[in-house]
Amino acid sequence: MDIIVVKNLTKRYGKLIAVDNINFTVHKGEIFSLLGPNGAGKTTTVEMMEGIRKATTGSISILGLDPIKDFAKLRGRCGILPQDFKFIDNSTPYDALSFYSQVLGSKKGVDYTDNIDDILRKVDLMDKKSTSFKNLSGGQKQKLGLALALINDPELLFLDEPTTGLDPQARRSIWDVIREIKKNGKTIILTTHYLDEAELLADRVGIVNKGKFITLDSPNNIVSANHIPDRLIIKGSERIYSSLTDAGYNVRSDDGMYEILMKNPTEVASVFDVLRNNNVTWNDFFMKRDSLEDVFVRLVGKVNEKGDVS
Amino acid sequence: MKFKNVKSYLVLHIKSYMRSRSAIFFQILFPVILMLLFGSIFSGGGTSHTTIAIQNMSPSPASWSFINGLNKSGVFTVNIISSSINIKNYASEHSINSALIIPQNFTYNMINHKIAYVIYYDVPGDSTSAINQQILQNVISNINLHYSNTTPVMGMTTDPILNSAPKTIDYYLPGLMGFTLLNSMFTLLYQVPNYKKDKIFRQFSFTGLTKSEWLLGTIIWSFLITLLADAVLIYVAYAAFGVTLNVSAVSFALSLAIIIASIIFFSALGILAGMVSENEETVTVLGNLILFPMMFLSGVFFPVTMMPSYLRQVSEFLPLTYSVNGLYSILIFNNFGMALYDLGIIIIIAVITFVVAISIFSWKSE
Repeated sequence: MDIIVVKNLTKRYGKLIAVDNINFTVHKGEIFSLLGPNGAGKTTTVEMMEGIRKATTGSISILGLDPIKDFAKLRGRCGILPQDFKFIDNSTPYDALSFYSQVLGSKKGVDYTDNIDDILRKVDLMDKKSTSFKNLSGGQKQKLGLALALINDPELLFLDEPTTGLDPQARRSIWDVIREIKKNGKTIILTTHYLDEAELLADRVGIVNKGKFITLDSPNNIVSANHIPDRLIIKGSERIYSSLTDAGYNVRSDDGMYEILMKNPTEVASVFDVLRNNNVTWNDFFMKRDSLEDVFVRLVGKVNEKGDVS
Repeated sequence: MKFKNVKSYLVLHIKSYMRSRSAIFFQILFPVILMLLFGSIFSGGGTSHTTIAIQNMSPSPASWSFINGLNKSGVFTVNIISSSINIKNYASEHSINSALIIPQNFTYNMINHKIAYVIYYDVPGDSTSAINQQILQNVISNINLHYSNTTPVMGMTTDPILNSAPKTIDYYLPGLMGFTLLNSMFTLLYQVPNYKKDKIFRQFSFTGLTKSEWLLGTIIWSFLITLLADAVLIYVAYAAFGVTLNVSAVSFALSLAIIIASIIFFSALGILAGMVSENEETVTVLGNLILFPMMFLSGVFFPVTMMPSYLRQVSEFLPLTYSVNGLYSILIFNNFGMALYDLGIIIIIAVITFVVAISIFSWKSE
């Protein structure tokens, strides 16, 4: 069942095309990740789905509703963690959750206040529930944003760059919460420029660049479709290079490391036979297989910590 | 609009506010400090004292009688100096603003029915100079009447226009209450650009809170905090200086109406100013541009009637003038007709400003 249907979606700012005629669907219960460098159009796409930005052309259906026309109706069914989440400096996580639970609850005539302690425990903020927002760490602020997105038990979650700028421990902690949410059958739209995040969490990944999808599939399928053959890397003397090239292998040399493309896994034994026959010794060796990151770098370019293509 | 949502926002805002010591200081304590300051300066009832150096070159019962008259005035502290000293140098060296020489021919002239002049030295720029000269003239006139054996043919008695004569501090209270009305503008002037920058308005929109619910919550908050600030102000003015106000059901209702209409206007003005403020520097500049003319030309600290005519004309264009004048008419003069006129003007400008602000204020900024 498709929770989100996006058709021919385009967003223009004057001459700049931020999102260029994209189409995709998101299935119920999956984590769908939009992966791309800064300025690729991820946040613009998500904000159009959230109903806070109007599309120039194209259509979006969220849970069968129009995100702009049915903005109020969707509030009770969606949770949103926006990019660079911030809240009132002097308010506490408990105050913020209490406010959210009362206002969101008033739509459905329910009170989510009873959920507050459970949510605080889920995101590991129970001991900070009375701390002012301005005194929370970056990770704790993101966790509060996540808690606010979860307070009304939404069917669909939009998480826009949930771990940007966080330390590795805080990132892993957020990932654990996202996995927990998925286990409960929620559908999650996750935008990120972290390749490991998308590879670890997402069922399907849409790689976006310059407003267009470059590819859209599961991380494994993207790697399979775009990978180069496995490579054997051997560390050792220059004689490795000469022996193997003389034997007809395609060898790439890089600072004492020699990379040999493998047509199939059985070739590894043949390579070491050649070295043994020529009395060439080696220090170390390992096999290298393409990850999503390798494919991404090949398709888009290398992305730095801030998400910019370098 | 759901009042439950308005209440939820109000609770969130009050809890955040209570954690901000600077906000409590500026909204509640600062007007009280101003009240105590003005009260101490203008309502102490103390008489100003000026030290006057007197050089009596013509000692006689007449000259000592004149000096005694000055001493009894209660204004001068008389300091007799030796006739060998240069009085101007003495006054300068001792930082004395008033000095007087009774010349050698003083007694002789008096006895011979000639005009007996005294020479008075002062600093013309000094604020007490005119008062001191007036008192000297009064003492001299009394001595003239005494020696010419005549009695005054004309006099003057005073009677207050109002039944209960207002004290000076009574006049400052409506002005300072007007000053607390500016809080609603400043709250929004700082809040709107901050919430825009941090995308908190957008965050609110995710909850389903509407623009009108937020605005109503903000106006109710401004009303409550202004009422609290005014109540504290009136209590301090009463406890410390015995301020007297016209209290009746009508004066209370009219004062509340002026406060509510003014808060709606200043909230709308705060939203408009906050929307055009791009950063903290702009907020400060805009805040000062709005604050200072209203503070000094709307009767907050100085009565508008004291100002030259061109400044009085400027004050007529400042909305706070009507809030202060309205409160002044109610609390001092019991003049409800005049207060209704001021209230009418505030309501008109409040409605116009509010409609403009709410129509251009973007909740889900793109």
